[in-house]
Amino acid sequence: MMIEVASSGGFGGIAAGGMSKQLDVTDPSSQQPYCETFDPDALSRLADKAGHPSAADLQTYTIAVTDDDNRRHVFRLREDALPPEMLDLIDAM
Amino acid sequence: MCGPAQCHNPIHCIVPPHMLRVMALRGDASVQQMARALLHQNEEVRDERAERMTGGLVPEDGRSGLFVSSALARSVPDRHVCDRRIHDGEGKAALPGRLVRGEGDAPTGDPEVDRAYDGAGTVFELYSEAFGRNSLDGAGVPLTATVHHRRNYNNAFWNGTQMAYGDGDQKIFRTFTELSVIGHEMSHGVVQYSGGLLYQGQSGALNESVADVFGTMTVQRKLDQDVYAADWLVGAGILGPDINGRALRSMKAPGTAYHDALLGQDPQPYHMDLYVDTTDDNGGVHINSGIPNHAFYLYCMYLGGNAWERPGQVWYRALQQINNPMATFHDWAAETMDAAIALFGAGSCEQVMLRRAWRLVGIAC
Ligand SMILES: [Zn+2]
Repeated sequence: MMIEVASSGGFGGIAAGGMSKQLDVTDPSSQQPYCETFDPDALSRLADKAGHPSAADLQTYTIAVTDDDNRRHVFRLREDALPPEMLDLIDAM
Repeated sequence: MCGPAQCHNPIHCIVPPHMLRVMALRGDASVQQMARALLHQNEEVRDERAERMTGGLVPEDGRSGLFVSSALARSVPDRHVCDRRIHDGEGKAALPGRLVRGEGDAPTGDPEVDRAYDGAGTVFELYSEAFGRNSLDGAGVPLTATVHHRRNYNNAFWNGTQMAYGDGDQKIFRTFTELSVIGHEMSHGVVQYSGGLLYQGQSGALNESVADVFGTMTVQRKLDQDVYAADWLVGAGILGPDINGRALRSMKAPGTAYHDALLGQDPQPYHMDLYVDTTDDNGGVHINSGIPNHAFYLYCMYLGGNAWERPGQVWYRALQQINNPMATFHDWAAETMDAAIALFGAGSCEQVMLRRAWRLVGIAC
């Protein structure tokens, strides 16, 4: 399983202000939180979640997950659609 | 219909659900997403208490069919009491984090905490003393902010209920608790409680511009600078030490705030001829805001004095009166013209110069 995360937007409106990270989950037992949190079905549910309509300056995340069958799932999510635990995992990548 | 007992978000009161459903069906991808979000929010808040309506739109006295924000409708100023609540995110994403400085508490010694506290107080004073507004919602809502949000986080935002400030990665950004940034984020709250401007395309760029206008006004009033002494920068000094730039945006000269190998060139236009059509950044909300930003700057140059006096009063009144979350630049310009006439009279210098300022950025009104 390969997880790729990129962010864009925010207060600055500067592309370079975002980040781009990737994690190759080679050992699912030790990287269980990533496997569960970035499960494509879970991400799909998050993508349907609406954020606050008056929020401003939030970043947008593009998350691509390549599963073990080599299928690539791409999600585009606003920052407030991601639970804090997921954002902490992204920061730790 | 959106009745007063069912609705707390001003936008829900303005855009009828049937229109939202049409937008969700027929709009382009971004409009569909926006409409779905509003409809979803409507369902979530249906059972919330009616008193959470504070700050929404109310009928204007004696003029049937007209609506203004409740903050403007109050004829007798309330006693305004600032209630700041600064939290430490401790590098994590959960909000609001640990409360570290409440109203009246002594400085903590953490510069981020203390700047967020002092800055929130300065913004509160601007709205209270210059515009007669009691906090973001006009009804004294506490000012909640989180500093040290996440790790190396290159951003600050308003999430609908609070402000959050990252520490920056110390390369591109070194801090976000600079006064114009604090004023900017809090002003998104004021926009929200003034009827709202949808965060997409031109209405989103207007939302951004209003936040920049009142953010820079906060700095100017704090420093007691008139319009000629002010630097008209948003986010001055927040860029990293090796970045070639003075700030994130310049209202005086949009497009010139930075020019750097890593960041590229400041993309803001100053005229409608240079309007940027893009799907990035919610349709360029942080880019095309340069146009109304520059119109405000030009208006200030024509009038002189302090920005928070005549020009600021016109902008503030327009924000309270516009009642159109999907306003275009032209709609906004027309609303500022109405505000100038209401405040200073038809044919007044304030109205004539405003028309001239808008014309200089390519907007006829
Ligand atoms: Zn903003």
